[in-house]
Amino acid sequence: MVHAQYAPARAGELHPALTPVEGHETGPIISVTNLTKRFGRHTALSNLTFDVPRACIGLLGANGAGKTTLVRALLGLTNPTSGEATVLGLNTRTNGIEIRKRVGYMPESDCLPPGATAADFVAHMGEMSGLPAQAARQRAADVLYQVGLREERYRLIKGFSTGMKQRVKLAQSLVHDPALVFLDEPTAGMDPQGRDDMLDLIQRMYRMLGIAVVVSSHILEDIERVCDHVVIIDEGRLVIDQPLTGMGTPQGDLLVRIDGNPDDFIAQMAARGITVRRPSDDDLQTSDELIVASNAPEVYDAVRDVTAELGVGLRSLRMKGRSLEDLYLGNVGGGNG
Amino acid sequence: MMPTPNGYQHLPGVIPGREPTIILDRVSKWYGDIVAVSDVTFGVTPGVTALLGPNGAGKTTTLKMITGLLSTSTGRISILGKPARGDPSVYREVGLVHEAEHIYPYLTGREFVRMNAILQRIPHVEQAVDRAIEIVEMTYAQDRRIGGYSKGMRQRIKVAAALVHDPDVILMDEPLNGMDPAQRLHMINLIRDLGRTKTVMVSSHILAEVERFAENIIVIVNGKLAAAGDYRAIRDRIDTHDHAIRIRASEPRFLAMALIGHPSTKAVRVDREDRLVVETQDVRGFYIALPQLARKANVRLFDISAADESLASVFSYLVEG
Amino acid sequence: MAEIDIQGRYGEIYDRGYQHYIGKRLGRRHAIWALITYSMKRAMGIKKSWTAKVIPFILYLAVVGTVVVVIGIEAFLKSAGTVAMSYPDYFTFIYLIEGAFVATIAPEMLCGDRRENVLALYFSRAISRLDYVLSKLSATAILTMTMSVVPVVFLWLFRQLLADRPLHALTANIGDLGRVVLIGTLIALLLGCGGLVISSFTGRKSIATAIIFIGYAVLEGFVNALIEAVSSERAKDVLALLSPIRLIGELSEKLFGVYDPVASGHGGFPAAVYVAAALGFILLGIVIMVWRYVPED
Repeated sequence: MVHAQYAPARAGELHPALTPVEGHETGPIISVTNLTKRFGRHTALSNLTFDVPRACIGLLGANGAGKTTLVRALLGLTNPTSGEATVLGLNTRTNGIEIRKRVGYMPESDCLPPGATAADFVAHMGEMSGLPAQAARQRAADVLYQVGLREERYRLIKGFSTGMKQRVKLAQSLVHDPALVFLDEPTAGMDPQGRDDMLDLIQRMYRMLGIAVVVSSHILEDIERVCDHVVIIDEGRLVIDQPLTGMGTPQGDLLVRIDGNPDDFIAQMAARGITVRRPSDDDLQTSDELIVASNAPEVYDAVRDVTAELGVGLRSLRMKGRSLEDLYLGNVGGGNG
Repeated sequence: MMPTPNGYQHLPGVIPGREPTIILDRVSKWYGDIVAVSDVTFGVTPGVTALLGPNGAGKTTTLKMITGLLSTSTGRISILGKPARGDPSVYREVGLVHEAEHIYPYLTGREFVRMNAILQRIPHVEQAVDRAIEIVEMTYAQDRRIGGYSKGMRQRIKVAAALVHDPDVILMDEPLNGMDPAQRLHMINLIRDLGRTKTVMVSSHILAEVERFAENIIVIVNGKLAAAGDYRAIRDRIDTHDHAIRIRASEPRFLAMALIGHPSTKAVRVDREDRLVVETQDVRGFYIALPQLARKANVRLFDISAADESLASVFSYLVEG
Repeated sequence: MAEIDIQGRYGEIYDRGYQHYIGKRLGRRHAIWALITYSMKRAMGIKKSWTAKVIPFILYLAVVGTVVVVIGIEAFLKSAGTVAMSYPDYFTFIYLIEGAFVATIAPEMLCGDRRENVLALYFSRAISRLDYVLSKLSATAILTMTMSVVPVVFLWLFRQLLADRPLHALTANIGDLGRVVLIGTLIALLLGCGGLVISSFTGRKSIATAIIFIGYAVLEGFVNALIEAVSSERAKDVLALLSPIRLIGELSEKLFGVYDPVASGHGGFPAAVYVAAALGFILLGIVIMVWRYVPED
């Protein structure tokens, strides 16, 4: 009996399948050059050029902006009208099947057969991606366990809740131990606990297991939570391609929350020459954060000292950096998909 | 007018003195042996209230009973003084946005909204339809068939149909589903606006967004009412969990030494990113002591945030029990 | 590697978490074969409830049972040299059973995947869309041929064994073997393909089954009526090609030399024409299937 052969995953270590493919030693896992896709008169993707580093990537865009077309092109399911794309060093036009052996895909829509058991179906999907039958069966059971399903994995999918179905979808994308997975709205329809679990799983996938992840989602908080890098597409064009962490470009304002009456605080800060104002409706934020105009690190000390002197509680303090939402809205047109 | 709630000093979810628009009085719902909702009593006042709860815990059932789609097994539900089920005139005052995916794919958006307007027998149908469609920014697509709409567009047209008769009460089940970030933001703003003059009840799973439009929450766990009111006040009342506060400072360990000496600090640790994580049961005392101790130790404070004051944390505490 | 601690004791903790897979990875051929076997199993109701198994197995039993009974009668009445069921009659019988069988399994092959959108997952796997279509065709062909070819081969075999000089019979009647295999295969492929084409247009199994039954019935009825209506013999000949049961029936009668122009009402074509027509229809069916599944949407 052939057992699935295992190599323990170590945090930070490169995924075995990500080791050099055809001379690509290091470098981006996805590389897109002038990628254009037209359907008749409609241009879905327009001259996209970007490289995706080995990371957890967020893919954003309005409905109809071309994200789905892009993912399908990267999976080799649709050929570009012009331009090229390589995934894991393989060309999508000529090596679609080789790519799909190494890549996992979790679709947004319902796609599970109700009449099969989770374990059976995921094992079948494993075989369909090149695993021998026994290995597929073992891995299917293992991966289903890893995503949080216990005895349920041997039951018919028919009775599964949304959360369980999402987990099965994730499991089938991982069963063949891909080097890269595409997740399309992975938390759709799940309740807060489930969403939390799913996001934890996604983080683990990259941070601990070395599997590169591309997450496509409309929920910016999810992207902010798990992704290191973000790619934004609008009307088929690339608008943003940058790391998420470098995003706290100081806008120069601090947001402060204190216990008690803010008037004294505002007055004392003004006495030190620092302007503090209450938020207006335009500042789309919770109502009790005061905005402190800041242009020097000493302002932090002023906040500390004034609250200390006044003896009021300093509840929260943060820099009003640009959020992902600001970045998104600032760059995406009024595309109404 | 207010019914006598069972054992509560006042109607949960309602600050004494305010008139609730929606009242649930000892409502239960069972299916054979399964008790989906168990003796739930609460009131909803004008403004935006979020209905939250794990899947399968009775939240959807509760919402369906409020919308009149399901009957209660026991207990009463009233909306603006009328029973939620049995009196058709209540629907004049109520607008519903279902979660259901498939709606009349062969109608155009405008026809769908107009149909609702006609059913509601409002005067000046065309104007009302224009206005409703404009509010959700669907004027450009109103003459296209709904079958060709994206998910986000379908959501918006459903909202328009629910608003066309200008109801005082609006109930929304997962209204943000399928919308892209720009549409979400617009819908969040719309909900906030509506909350200024109407009673809006929204059911949603995406807590980070719920935080932006609703301060009042009703949480249903395991078929029962788990919490009602402002989620920040609720957090303060959860004393089984210590508050955890994350601090970024110029000299974290130095600050840690100062903090641990103070009685309000239960525990201090340094996390992977060199931030301090402080556990405290006396939040108020801690927040006052923090700037004072930092000043004394000459440590600059860059970032202070309560690790668990978000709605998500509050929610998970309530669900874990 | 043994973990010995400071006091010389041994103990280890093992990682039960996610493991990378470094074993063998097989290619497209394995995936295709996996799809074929999986499709066959599910169509036959294996790994499903017993209700899904009932009809296919009963039909198999009917065929096997018939062969057994026929052999039995012929063995019993060997001296009289009876032929309990001629090959052409047998094939008419098989045609009906196969029809019912295809109406059950063809929808199982295709409809579920379409309706539940499992196609999205299949296409993200290490196969191409064409591979998917060909796998389903192969799976259906294997199942249908098992019903229409295998039992009849056994029937032929037993008939030779019952003869006075079996070894001589085996070689002398090899032509018959060729004929039954040809006809059996054409029945399997013609009906199977037709069933699959119909199933590829809908996601609902029950509708596909109904259309298969009704479709064939209507087709037969329509063609029969036309044959009655026209007077030209050539026209009748051509029309007969459009009715699958007539096509098979007349082909088998022609091949076994028992075709009666008077009874059928027209002269008919040489056998090769029927075979060509059948192959033509099968090819058309494959083309339609490919058209349904292969172009990107």
